[in-house]
Amino acid sequence: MVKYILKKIIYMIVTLWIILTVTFFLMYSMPGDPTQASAKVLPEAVQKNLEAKWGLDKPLGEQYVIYLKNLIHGNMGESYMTPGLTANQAIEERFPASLQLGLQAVAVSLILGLILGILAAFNRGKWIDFVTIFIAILGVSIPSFVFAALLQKYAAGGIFPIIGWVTEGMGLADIFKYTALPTMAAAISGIATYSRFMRSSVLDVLGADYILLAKSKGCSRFQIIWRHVMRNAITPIISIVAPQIAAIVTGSFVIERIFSIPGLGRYYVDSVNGRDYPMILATTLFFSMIFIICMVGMDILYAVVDPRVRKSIIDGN
Amino acid sequence: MSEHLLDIENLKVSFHTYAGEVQAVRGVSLKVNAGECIAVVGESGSGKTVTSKAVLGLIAEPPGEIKKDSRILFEGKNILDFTEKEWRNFRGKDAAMIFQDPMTSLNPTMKVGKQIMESILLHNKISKQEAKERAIELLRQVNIPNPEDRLNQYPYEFSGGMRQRVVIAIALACNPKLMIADEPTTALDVTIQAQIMKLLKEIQKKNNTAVIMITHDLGVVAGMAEYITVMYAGCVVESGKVEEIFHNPQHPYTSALLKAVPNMENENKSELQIIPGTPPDLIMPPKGCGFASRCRYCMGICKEQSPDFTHVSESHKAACWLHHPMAKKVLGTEDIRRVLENE
Repeated sequence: MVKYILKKIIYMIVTLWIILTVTFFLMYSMPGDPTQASAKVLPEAVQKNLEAKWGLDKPLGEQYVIYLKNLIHGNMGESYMTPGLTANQAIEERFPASLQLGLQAVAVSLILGLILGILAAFNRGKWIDFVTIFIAILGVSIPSFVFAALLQKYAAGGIFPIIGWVTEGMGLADIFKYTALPTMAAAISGIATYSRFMRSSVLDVLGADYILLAKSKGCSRFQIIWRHVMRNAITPIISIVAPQIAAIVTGSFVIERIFSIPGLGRYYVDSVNGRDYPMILATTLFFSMIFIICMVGMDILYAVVDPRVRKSIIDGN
Repeated sequence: MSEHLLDIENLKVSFHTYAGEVQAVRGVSLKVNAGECIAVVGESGSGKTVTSKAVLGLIAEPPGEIKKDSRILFEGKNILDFTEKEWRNFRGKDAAMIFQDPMTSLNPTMKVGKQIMESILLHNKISKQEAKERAIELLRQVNIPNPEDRLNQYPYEFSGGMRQRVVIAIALACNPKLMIADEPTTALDVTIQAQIMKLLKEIQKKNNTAVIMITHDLGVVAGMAEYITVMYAGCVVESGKVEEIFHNPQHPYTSALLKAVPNMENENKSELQIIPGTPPDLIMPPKGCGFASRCRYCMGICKEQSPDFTHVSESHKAACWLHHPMAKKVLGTEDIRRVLENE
């Protein structure tokens, strides 16, 4: 087990290094550079000074080595656009909003998606099944920003503010008011996906012989669902949930922008536009790390749910 | 009113599909006494599994439908009138089922011990510890070595034969009066088959459990069952004591089935006899005898009207027009006897 985790950590570091390297060189091959990204046209002398300050005048290879050295010491550099702001600070400041939005959206989409999927499977061909199909088609085909805009137009204005986010010292009621619409907007595609997957997964399990055996033992419907269906039906879902969690936690920048949420996703896009190299690298690395952690989490969860997977991990296969 | 443990009367089960109504079981009557083992024999699609599922209320409605005039009496009570709660009390406690494929009939993510205990705890008011002890005892009873350790293992850690033993242990958990074994050895290899059959027989004798053994393999039932019921196309065509069926089959289907059993001691190395043709389509079941289209001795009446049972002895009956007095006039008694004695 320890060997397994160690192996995973080593893989993670190697993966991060590859992502870092690819991003680094891709970033520099983008047209434009930080000194020309701002609206003002800077005099040539200022440009030269800035390049010297940021180390952009050195050869690319040397810049890469310097960056790696700093990174090992935990220093991800300072923003070009906002002088004085380190990348670490930026992430610390910006990530909590993204994380909260992401986790809320994941929780809502998982709970609603799984419940809808189970209901649809148990009522195949009845109205609730069609409602689920309808929601799923809408959720998959309508982009989240359209949904966000619709929510702003029709649901906001009364209790729910059109834009804005939680600030410090807010009560639970206010937190709910500010987060409800963005959470719904971010959750809709997840609800759609999970409900469809869960439905087919539950139907698969319901057709299995062991469900018939459970029934022939005298289990009630609820006992069958809870003890025999859920655990077996959820295994295939885990593999689609993990990457989606990562994506939703890190990547809801469209929603963050529409609802003016001070999140990291929005900041990421801004730094790409501003050619803010240290920030691009820092956020890319951070997002990749979250993604990888989610995948490792998925592996562990698999092992928890499925004894066969657990055995193969313990045996070291 | 009846001394039978299980009394199936005129059971009719249909399944509604897009193609139409499939009449899987068309009026089956069957009696089982306490502690007795009967075998239900027939080829795939003859309705034997559907019949057994109906006894445990495992037929999903819809698409299935049990016709109104069907009756299944268990200890004199019509179980088809059971409420959902009565069914739950009945299943597992009064009657239990052993399924065909042990590789798929255990929950892969639940410990074996827990799966056995589940059944015990559902029907008995005892503590978990007591249930655990009972589960160990059950595993010992089905000859699983180291039951204390095996209890904490998952199904994937068991071989096919061992899993079927676990399934049998689950069925035995509450000492049911009736056990239905739906082709319990089909998915196992031959040596394991013999072991499982031996185990089932021991259990039946020891616990005085009635067993309905469903199979398509006549060889499997010879040593185990006391009575055999032969089914074809959703109907019972012949039933009787084992010796009567084996030595004196009275229905052409039964005798054809007996001839289709491979014989290891056959020194002539003759070809295996098969029954040509396929069973009738049960969406549009034939008007007459279901076997008519494949029967070598088919007469005009066979295609027009389905035959009633003729009692050969008190326990032995067959549904075939050859037993009709008129047939004897047409074919001659000698011919009939030759036909029925497999020529």
